[in-house]
Amino acid sequence: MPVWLKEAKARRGGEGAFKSEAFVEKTLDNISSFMKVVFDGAEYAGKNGLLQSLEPKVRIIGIFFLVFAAALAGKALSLLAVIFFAIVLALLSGVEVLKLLKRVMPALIFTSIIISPVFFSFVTPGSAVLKAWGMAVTKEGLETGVFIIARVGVMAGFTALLLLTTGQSDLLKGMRGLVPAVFITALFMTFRYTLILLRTAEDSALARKSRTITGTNLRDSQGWFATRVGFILKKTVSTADEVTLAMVSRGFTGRMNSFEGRRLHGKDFMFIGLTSFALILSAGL
Amino acid sequence: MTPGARLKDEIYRLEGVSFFYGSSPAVKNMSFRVERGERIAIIGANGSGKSTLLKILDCLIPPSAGIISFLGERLAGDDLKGGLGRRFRESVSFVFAEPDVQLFSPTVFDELAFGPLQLGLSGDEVKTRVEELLDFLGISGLKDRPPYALSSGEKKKVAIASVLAVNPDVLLLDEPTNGLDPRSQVWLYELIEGLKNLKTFIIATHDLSMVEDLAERAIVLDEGHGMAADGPSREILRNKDLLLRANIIHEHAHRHGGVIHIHSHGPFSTHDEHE
Repeated sequence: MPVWLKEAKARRGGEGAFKSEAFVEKTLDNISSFMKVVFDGAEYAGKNGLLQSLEPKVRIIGIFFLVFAAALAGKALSLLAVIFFAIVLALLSGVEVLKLLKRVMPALIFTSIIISPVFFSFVTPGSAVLKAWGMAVTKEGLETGVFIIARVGVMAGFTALLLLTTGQSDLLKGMRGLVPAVFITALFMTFRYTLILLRTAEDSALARKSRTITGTNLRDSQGWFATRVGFILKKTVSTADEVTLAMVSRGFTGRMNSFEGRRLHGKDFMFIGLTSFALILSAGL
Repeated sequence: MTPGARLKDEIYRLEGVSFFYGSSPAVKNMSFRVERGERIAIIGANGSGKSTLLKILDCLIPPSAGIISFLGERLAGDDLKGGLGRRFRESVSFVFAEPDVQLFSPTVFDELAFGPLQLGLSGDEVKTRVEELLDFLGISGLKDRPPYALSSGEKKKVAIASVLAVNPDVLLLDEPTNGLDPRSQVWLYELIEGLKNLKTFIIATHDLSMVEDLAERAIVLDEGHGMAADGPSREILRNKDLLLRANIIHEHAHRHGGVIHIHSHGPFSTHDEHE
């Protein structure tokens, strides 16, 4: 046994205070926030609400109709009606409007930045309401911009409502029949193994963090990350092989058999009727 | 009996089966038979070829050389299709060592339903079967949970349940006690004991206490990937030289005062030698 290993306290290998690696810390933060979204994503799925009580496929189709209704809404009145519908739907499903707004906020901010030129006279000429540094914000520009932002907001709101009230398994079940079963399984497995590989990446980052004392430079951290990506890629291939064998072992021959969805109830038909009516109205108004 | 003749209750017959990964051997020249209702432990050191042998027995990888027969019909690798394919997949199930590769469905319920659905059972029949199995195994509480969110012990239970749902005659278990807490180990032992004489078990394991308790016969793989022994478990477990040679247990010497002890160590230790 080496002599240094027998010493009660290992001699310090060098000078320098403990310093964490920003790159590794950031990687860990990103992984954990992704995991949080995955595991807490459908936090309202277990509640007793309107959307939760619908057959998953009906929920998906209905929300899809509403997203389209929002996209087709050409007038402020029809858009307001769709927004009102979204709020009522959220409340009946036990989702707080503030929570929904929080989910929608990134889409609103992103859209506002992207379309910001629309507010100004050089893109939308009209009567100026505000002038600064030789540029003017026009009334017409404001109307167009707010309309676009509201439309994106309500579309994102419906999508968020679906994701908040639908567990991952229900979401996949709902998609069955709408797209071939083999795609659903591929989608689920992609998601499933992304999680496994993310955990591997997280463990690697934690292992490095636990052995990092005085920190390393960014280039070293990035080099280390590149080797980990290679390792994870290799692991992905071997995992995929094993999964295929596990599926074959249980009778998979390339054609995926799955359950039929549950029988539709009156509430399901009403929801589809209402949402398709909203879509027709929105397209016509 | 004439060599090569099929026994009345013979399930598997392997004659000179070998498997190579490229030029590296993983399984070398294995010959043995398996009869209905037997409980066989395949024991060997890490990398001795236990998992590969199970994959060959489940017809997931074809042997590079040799013959393997199932119920008198020769299995020829990729030709496992049609009637034989269906009969084989209905009869033989494999629990992988790593449950994460085996659990690929959105919920535990779907996981258990996967096998029966692939075999063409009706939806109602599958639902009844899965509900009964969940209840029998005491895991009904996990029914709607996604498998990735389970603990490792729960994952193992679900993996075992997922193959039992097919109601196979032969169960191939690869390191079934890995990652199981003591309570889950007892659960597994009781399950295997409860299915005694109803199912044929071939279990690859390091856990020699499991061999002693649950397998009447043991096949020992040596580090050269060949078969070192095949016989009654009790006799195999008493053969310390064989277990040492196959690197399943190891010996360790230490001193207590003036006495030097030599112990064999491993999952199944024998503290019988003092010098």
